[in-house]
Amino acid sequence: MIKKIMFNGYLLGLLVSILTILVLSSSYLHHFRVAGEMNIGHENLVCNECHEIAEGSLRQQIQANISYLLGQRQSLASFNFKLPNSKDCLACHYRENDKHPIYRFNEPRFSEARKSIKAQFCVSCHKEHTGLRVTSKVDNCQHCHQDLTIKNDPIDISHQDLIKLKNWSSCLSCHDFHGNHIMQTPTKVKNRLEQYKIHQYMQGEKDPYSDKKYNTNKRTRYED
Amino acid sequence: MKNNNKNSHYPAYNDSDILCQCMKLKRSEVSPTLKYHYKKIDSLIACSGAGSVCTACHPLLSELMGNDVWTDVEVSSIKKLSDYTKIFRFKSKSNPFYPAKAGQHIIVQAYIDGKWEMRRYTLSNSASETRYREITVQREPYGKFSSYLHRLLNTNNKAIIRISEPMGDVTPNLITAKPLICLVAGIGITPIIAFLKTIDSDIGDSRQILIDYSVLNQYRVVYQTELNDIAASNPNIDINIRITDQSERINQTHINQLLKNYPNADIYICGSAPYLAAVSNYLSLANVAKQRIHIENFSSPKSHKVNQSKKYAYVAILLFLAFFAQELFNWKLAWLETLQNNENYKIYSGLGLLTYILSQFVMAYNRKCETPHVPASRYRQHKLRGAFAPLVFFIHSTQLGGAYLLLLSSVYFSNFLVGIFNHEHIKQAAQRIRYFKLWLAIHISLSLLLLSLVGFHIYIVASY
Repeated sequence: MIKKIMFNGYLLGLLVSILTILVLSSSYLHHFRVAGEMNIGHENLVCNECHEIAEGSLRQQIQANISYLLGQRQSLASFNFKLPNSKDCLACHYRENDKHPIYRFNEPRFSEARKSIKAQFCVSCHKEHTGLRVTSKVDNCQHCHQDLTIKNDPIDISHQDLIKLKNWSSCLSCHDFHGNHIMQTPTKVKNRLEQYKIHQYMQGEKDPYSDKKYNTNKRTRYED
Repeated sequence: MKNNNKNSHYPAYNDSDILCQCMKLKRSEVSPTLKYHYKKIDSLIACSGAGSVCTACHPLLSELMGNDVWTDVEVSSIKKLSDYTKIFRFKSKSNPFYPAKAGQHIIVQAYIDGKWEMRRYTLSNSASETRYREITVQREPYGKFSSYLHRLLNTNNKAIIRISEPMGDVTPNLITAKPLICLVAGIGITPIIAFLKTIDSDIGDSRQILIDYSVLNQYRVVYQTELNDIAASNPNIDINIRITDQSERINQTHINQLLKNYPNADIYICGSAPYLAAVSNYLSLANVAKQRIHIENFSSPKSHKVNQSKKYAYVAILLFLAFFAQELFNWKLAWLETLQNNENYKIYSGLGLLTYILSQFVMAYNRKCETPHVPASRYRQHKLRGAFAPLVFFIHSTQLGGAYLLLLSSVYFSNFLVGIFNHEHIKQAAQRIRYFKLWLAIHISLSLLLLSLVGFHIYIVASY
């Protein structure tokens, strides 16, 4: 009796498993196969726009990864697909006049910023599959702008004073990080954007800075 | 400790030994009352409280009063009846035995690991037998005594064993001519064997007897040939063996049919506690007068096993609630979050989790390869490992995840919950077996689904 039940259990389990895997592998469910929601603006992208086919045969890929796990190799090898990197992001998001382009963080003077917030990589602040727009903290400016000095400071409460007060969360209320918005920067601190709007923007809600932008992104990396 | 077996000079008891199990009285607590020099054992029982419940320690009390209660015996033969059951014959080292009554039991004492242990066993020899005393012992997974007896490989051993006089009077009434229905289960067959052997030697008994013998599987059937021989030689005795993993358990219809076939019969029941409960229930539903029913409880002390299983369940539920609390209220440990974002940590903790899941499949291997008998310790290990499922998951990830990962973690935790709420928590035998059938199928199929989802997860993680 027990053997029959066990056999039925295995049979049922096998059928359900095969069915589940088939359903999960269906091309309609590609967004169900990721660890989380796509980030804002990426909703309509499909996997292979960022994940490109990796080099090497399957055997080589498996061999390389096992070597890594056994400590015989310095880094993991790509299996099936390459791990996306900043170049893949810049394929759509590259801008001539970016105020904080990632390559600048490779300068020696930003070694501290590289160590603390890894500012040289896009994903350090825009982690994918989180359903958000920005995943870093709002006060990241402090890692490079501690010693800021401005001649003829245009605002009513000087930048130095704000830094002295360690009011780092206020920076983004007047400045957009990449500088792509066409907007008037306020000269009075009280006219700045409210903190919660910035927070909501980072979470993926309405853009509080401006509707107009200098550059628009490509729809996909393959767009001319 | 050196045993001077030859001089029949036995090792002494320890003062801290429990003398009366029911009242939990130590030897040191009972012996001071001896200063009153009782003439009868009843006075000692009344004064000390020892022996007032199950009477099993009466030989010990009698011994305390200076009486000679033990007969030194040697094991004269050991016969294997099944993988679980052996017959032991004890021969007296001094005088031959007195005849016993059918269905009586003896106390067997053995010196195990420097301590006297004793158990009660029903005699399975014919009542008139004086050459030897015979007991049938089923090995219990946690039983110290039964395991000790089963480990005695041959009769030429140095085991120190002594037995009491036969005692007890829950025996089928042999004088009446009314038909007799014996409903027995498992090792509860032994008093019946003694009884049948007695009938067998009593020529001219024309009493109608039916033995309904329920047993879990064919490996556990004992005395098959004896029963067949008796049934063949005596047309008034019918024997029905139910192998419950192949056919139905005894139910109301069976009982009603039996009562119809043997009207006015006396009924004798012997078996484990759940069996007794189920059968008594059927009999009371069939309106059988209580005077006609004779019950002998034949269960082994298994309570600690159930408690252990419950203890694991409490630990498991506690861990489960803790996991969900931290997920729901977002109580995260910063260092663990950082660690879990590390690629290497993800891989190695994931492999650890996979190993953990696979280790639970050892149960499937055991069930397949260790028939007929999966040792109780394997089930215990399986349950103990299972109880820590939320903790192992937590080490790999403190989050349930989204999309297909949510499906994966739901299957993981569902199977964990199914494992906790197993059939052992259901008291009624009939419901338990029905629940078990469904439960086992669900538990197994969820395990397979979990394994394939884990495979899918590894593929996805490795690819992207």
